[in-house]
Amino acid sequence: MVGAGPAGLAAAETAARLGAAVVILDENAAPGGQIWRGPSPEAAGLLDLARRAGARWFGGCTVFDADPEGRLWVTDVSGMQSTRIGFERLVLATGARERFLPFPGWTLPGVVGAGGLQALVKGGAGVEEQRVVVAGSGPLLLAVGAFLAEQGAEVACVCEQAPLGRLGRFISASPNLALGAARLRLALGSSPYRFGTWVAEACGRDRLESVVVTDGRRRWRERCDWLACGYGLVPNLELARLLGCKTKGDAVVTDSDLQTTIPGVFAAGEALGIGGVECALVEGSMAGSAAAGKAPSRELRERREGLRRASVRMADAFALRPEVLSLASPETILCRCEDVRIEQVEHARSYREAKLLTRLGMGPCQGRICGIASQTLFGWTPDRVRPPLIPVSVRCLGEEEE
Amino acid sequence: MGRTSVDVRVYGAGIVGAACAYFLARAGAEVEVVDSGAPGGGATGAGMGHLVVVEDSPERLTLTSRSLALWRDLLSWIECEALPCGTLWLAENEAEFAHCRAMGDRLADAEVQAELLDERALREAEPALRPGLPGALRVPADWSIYAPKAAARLLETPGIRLRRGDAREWRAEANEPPSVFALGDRTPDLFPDLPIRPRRGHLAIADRRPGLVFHQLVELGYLSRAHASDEASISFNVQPRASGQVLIGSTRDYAGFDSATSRATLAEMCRLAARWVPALADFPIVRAWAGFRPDTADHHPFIGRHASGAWIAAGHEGLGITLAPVTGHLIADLVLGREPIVDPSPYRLDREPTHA
Ligand SMILES: Cc1cc2nc3c(=O)[nH]c(=O)nc-3n(C[C@H](O)[C@H](O)[C@H](O)COP(=O)(O)OP(=O)(O)OC[C@H]3O[C@@H](n4cnc5c(N)ncnc54)[C@H](O)[C@@H]3O)c2cc1C
Ligand SMILES: Cc1cc2nc3c(=O)[nH]c(=O)nc-3n(C[C@H](O)[C@H](O)[C@H](O)COP(=O)(O)OP(=O)(O)OC[C@H]3O[C@@H](n4cnc5c(N)ncnc54)[C@H](O)[C@@H]3O)c2cc1C
Repeated sequence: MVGAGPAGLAAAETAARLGAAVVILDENAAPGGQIWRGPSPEAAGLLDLARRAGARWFGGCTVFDADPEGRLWVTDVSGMQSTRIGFERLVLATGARERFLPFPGWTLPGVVGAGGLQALVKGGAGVEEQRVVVAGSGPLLLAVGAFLAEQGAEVACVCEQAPLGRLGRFISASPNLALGAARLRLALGSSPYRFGTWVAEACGRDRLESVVVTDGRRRWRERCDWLACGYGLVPNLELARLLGCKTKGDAVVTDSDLQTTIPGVFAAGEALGIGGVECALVEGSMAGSAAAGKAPSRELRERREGLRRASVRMADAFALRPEVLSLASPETILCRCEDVRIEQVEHARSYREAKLLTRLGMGPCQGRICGIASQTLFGWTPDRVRPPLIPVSVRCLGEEEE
Repeated sequence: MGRTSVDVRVYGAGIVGAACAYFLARAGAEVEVVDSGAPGGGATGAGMGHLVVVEDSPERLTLTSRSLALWRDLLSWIECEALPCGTLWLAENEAEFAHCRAMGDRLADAEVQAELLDERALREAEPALRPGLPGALRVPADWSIYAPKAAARLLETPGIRLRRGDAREWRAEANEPPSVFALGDRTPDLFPDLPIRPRRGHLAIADRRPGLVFHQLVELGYLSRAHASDEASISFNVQPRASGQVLIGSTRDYAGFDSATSRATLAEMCRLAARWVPALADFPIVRAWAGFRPDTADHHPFIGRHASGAWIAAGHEGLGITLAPVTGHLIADLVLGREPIVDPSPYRLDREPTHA
């Protein structure tokens, strides 16, 4: 199992229980994935069940290469050591990351991802009495706003770019989601949750001091210490694409047993498209079961279908409006690693052409941020994926094969 | 957009096509350049960008040294991350060191500056190399550049227009302007009688850690593997980039057009690099890739006229970036009926292939 978020843990627990010899890998030191960060009883509970059934867990292990013949290459955080692991079946539960879109000032210190600030705080950063604007799009914003409020931050406002009308229709069609949303809204307290608004600009000399918020007609300024801003989530597909699994849009393609187009390779959770925790758990159980040789139960399949239908409606409700795709000015940085500005690439006809001429996406992060942003802004298709998936040392790449 | 007349059409916007267009436009021609992909997106974007004088045959010495002289003028105004790093040809043993000395003499005869470094001088020049090497030949006037940028700059020359299109649209009989085909390894798509094969090469780039190596470092054995053999091979070839990164090469094999990297080949290339420069072992590789050198049977390019009337400039194997200016100049000379900058006969399309 690659990934120890809800999907990977559920897959591990199921497969181990069915008698498979299971190894769980995650680049994070602790299990839990994106949602169960920090000390998490849910993650610990699932992992414990999996281990009692014989699964082995390795944290701090990033898969940087793989082949469909059944080999994974894994490195530690330093990128200095590597190990090879064989598999007969593989479950890709690699989750998702946040989508960042460039706008003037987005590279100022103090501007972070929505999930990013949540992770910082879970990792020990204090936000008490600090003023935070949460902005972007997706259900994550409300969760992050509520979380930050609980941690003592002063949440100036949560700006959701999607208009109230579309969200209202979606919520009224999804009663159990409505309940969860209402709970989070309550936790946010008196801070406003504004639909149809977005941050047009982040301002400050050396650090963020304020943001300009707009609803397309009016513009106003909010003073803040942090801007937590993310435009939804995008699945991590690098490993799947490296293995040669077919992808469509932003998701891995699978059959109804969650087997990808590469035999023996399964996928679950956000890698199949953004679907949320519950969906990740169900799909994890399905993929774990299928990988252990037992067809997933009808009940699981049916639950999954319902959850996936809801996730399609959710994606529609939170679709990005054209205004947020044109916030950046010509001078705005698009690629932070290589200091590439929008004006340097806006006339390029493909991602490849932009890369060739400006080094866009060629820095240490290898386009993890600017690749997604430029694909969203300009409609470009991503480049082919090659190993190593993350930087690893010459020694690691040069390891002898025995 | 008003249509202006086209005097010459160039198919292919790699470094070779860009240089052809540049020398034609500089002579006053209106040039249309046609490429089906991103300019520089073929071999030009996959190569190392080492501008290097090579003397393992008289033709190659003439061609590379003339081209380097042209590059020197171009680099006075083209911004393409050019670094005047020079080359060190590294000997592994005394026999190779003697070969370095002979190579230096031949270069001197051609008025190419070169100096022999003994063991001590080599250690001073490149302290990161493993100790105990007998010495090297230093050729100070070689460069490293980033070729796609150079191609893009050349294509900005007044008189050149770029268009997206497919060379297969061309018809020999039509009443067309003279056409130059600089399609690299895709040449046989249009001219099946010109045997050009993709010769795969792997490269890996390390993150910025300036100050490790100062010259392009090439083991002497590289030349015979590249030009006197068709066997699969791996040679130590490492380049400092203007960005502070280190580019590691290089491999040769024939693998069709599959640009996937081979794990075993990459691994061996990395081991070899770390054997020559031990500190490289800890350098993080941010990216690795494979590209194709357009290779002819004798590893010399085709520059000249095809029976169909088309002009061809292709098949430069591992030296196309180095050889682009002299190729472009020669093509312009031939197309415009000027005195050729070098004797074109060794590059004729109907030559008997001889192994260099
Ligand atoms: C930044 C962020 C914050 C979020 N916050 C919330 C929230 O507050 N509330 C909420 O309801 N939902 C939140 N979500 C959504 C939630 O994370 C998902 O619905 C759920 O976690 C999906 O589970 P998963 O197992 O598919 O993926 P994930 O939980 O993302 O787990 C994937 C795991 O795979 C690992 N991985 C990926 N590639 C490799 C590799 N090559 N080698 C080794 N390991 C690898 C990752 O380290 C990660 O731990 C958040 C998502 C993100 C991206
Ligand atoms: C790993 C490696 C390292 C190298 N290192 C060096 C080095 O250090 N120094 C050096 O001098 N050389 C080096 N080379 C060699 C060099 O890269 C090539 O010789 C050179 O780039 C060839 O240039 P080109 O313009 O002929 O071909 P290309 O750059 O391949 O250009 C051909 C162009 O034609 C276009 N095209 C193809 N078919 C069609 C069609 N039907 N219609 C329209 N357009 C078409 C393509 O899109 C492409 O843009 C290296 C090569 C490799 C692979």
